[in-house]
Amino acid sequence: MADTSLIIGNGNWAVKEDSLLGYNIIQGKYVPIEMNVSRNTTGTRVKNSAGLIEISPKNLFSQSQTFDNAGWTPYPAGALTVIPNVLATSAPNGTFTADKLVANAVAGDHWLLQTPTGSSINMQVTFSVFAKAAEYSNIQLYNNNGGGGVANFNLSAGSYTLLSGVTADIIPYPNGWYRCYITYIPILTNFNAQIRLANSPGNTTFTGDGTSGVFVWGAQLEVSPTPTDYFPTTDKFDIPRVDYSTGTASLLVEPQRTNLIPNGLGYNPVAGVLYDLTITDSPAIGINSARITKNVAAGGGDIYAQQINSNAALLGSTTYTLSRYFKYDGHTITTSMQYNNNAPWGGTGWNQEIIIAPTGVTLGVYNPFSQCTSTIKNAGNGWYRVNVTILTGAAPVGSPQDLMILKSSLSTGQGFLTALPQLEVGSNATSYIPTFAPLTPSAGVTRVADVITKTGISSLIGQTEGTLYFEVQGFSDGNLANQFITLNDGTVANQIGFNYGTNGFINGYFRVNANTLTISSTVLKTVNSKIILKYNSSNLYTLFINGSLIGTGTAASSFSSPLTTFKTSQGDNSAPYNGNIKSIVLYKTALSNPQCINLTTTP
Amino acid sequence: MNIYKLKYTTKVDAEKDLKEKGVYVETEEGLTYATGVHAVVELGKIITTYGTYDEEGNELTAPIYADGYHYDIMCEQDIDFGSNSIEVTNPKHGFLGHN
Repeated sequence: MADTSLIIGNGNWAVKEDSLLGYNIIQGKYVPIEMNVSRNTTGTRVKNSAGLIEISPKNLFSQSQTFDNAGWTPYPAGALTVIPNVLATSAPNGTFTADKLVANAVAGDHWLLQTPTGSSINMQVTFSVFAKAAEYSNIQLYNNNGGGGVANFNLSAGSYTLLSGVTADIIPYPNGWYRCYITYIPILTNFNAQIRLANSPGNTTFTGDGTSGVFVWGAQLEVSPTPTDYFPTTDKFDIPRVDYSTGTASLLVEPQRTNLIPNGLGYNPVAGVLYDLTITDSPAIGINSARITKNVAAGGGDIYAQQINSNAALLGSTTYTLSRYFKYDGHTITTSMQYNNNAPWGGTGWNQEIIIAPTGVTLGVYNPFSQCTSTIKNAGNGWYRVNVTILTGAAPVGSPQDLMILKSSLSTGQGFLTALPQLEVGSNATSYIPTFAPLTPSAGVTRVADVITKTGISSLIGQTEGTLYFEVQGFSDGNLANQFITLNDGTVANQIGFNYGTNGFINGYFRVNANTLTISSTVLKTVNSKIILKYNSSNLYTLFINGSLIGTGTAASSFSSPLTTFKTSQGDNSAPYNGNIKSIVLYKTALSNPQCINLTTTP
Repeated sequence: MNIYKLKYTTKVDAEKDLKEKGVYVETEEGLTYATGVHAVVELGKIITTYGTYDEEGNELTAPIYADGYHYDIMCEQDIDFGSNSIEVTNPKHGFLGHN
């Protein structure tokens, strides 16, 4: 087998600050390969095979270990100095990247603070930092969200005192380092997190000397009840997402979507319905679910739990997908996701029955008002995500809500668990986008599209012959055609890759000197597929998918300019791909047909 | 990164202005975002007061809408949207990870 020039993925995904783990054939080892991800928002991902969802990147701080950056603010001005990258001690990861916080020779407070961005209100967050005693051996971690979490830490004794908040702890690390943390629930917008120097336990108001301080490294604020592995940040948005929603690690590439539901934990008060929003059993780390139960005795009519789905009128003649997670809660019941009134849905009356039983959650039988299509997916841990797709009528008017029926036969206390509701434009449910009402107002939230690019890799791409291998799985997103993954010259004139046709099938796509050659298949994009695109010096192009030679074609010429770039789109950024990428492998030679068939055959 | 909150009289007016301002560009694949534009979010007719409905879904009070047709734009470039750019004290939409 010929050597590869680049492997990305191959079951060994790892994400660093701005990088994926790739294989450099010249160095003969896996190395971080910088990937430019142009997604200027955070997102979420399924973090591991356990199925739990977390915000990605999980660290809500920017500049998490560069405390001298403007992202951090000494307070009061002039009271604290940050000495970056000190040589007096190595950081917990063995590098000389620890900073020293020095209290200047002024009386009063000596703090360093950051106001994190992000939708973390009303969610349980953990604020952690690695710290080591220098001349001083005490710090205080403090958040200013109305007297929330505060704790004092003794870096000599390895002890702490929790003053307020949910919990705190100090975890010893080698070489005198401790990871100090507090856990609390922010209730105000624009809260900030503070590292306060102390010259004795709990004494944060004193006169410094301009040289004494403590060493710090690796601050992290995350939606979690405990600190998890430290994830360093600079700009915290453009981070590739490695996702386990398909059961194995893959790179998640999604389109722009907005969760229109203005408050994921906001339900309308209804007589006879009880909402318990304190349930921590949830598909997502740190985001509560709701226990919805009937609060009156059996008998009378059916009643409905209700939630507002949008704070704007819905668009006419537009496809929406409403998704919710459900879980059994001790009683087998039939509930629903259904319209409140067809006017807000433009005249579309839709209703999806949902059966919740100890053995799992299933979709109910046909209902005469079911102007919707639905799917369900086992999300693990007893949770199931139900996705209901609705086409609105021409002119929606009113406040869209969805109802979940509690039938008259239910008794007091009987109901179900539900979590993470999402209403989005599109025919599939994408990864969860958290929405929470701070206090007021409530708002829909947008996650921007992922477009992943690697430029300057002409040396890794065969220019006259080569073989490209992809293992991918597209989303069930209707007929969103013309999604590309390509190697290109930065334009659309020269590119090799694959795309999805209007029929939802995978096509090999070759554009050579502005002439297009397409090799069509009948393999659906939603099938996890191993694809090889091979080209040789005779300009012969061949497509293989899942162990079969699909077809060949011959171009009139070779590329008129070198292929330099990998993109999850065309060379001009148009027609972006949406789906999972499990592996990408480049060869600078054209492999033999048997080799290609062997590589694309699933054992 | 700039986030603009825009208000137009109609959707048609909005799309025309967004093309003129270079937010949208025409490509072989149709209308797409210009370089540096990360998101265009069509909010449409914003509800300031939700409608109310009884347990059967019948409308009790109609929702109240804000004037105009609304968009949020996230982009790297500075764009002068003139009077269509508005200040919002009670936002109905945000971007994930941004306050």
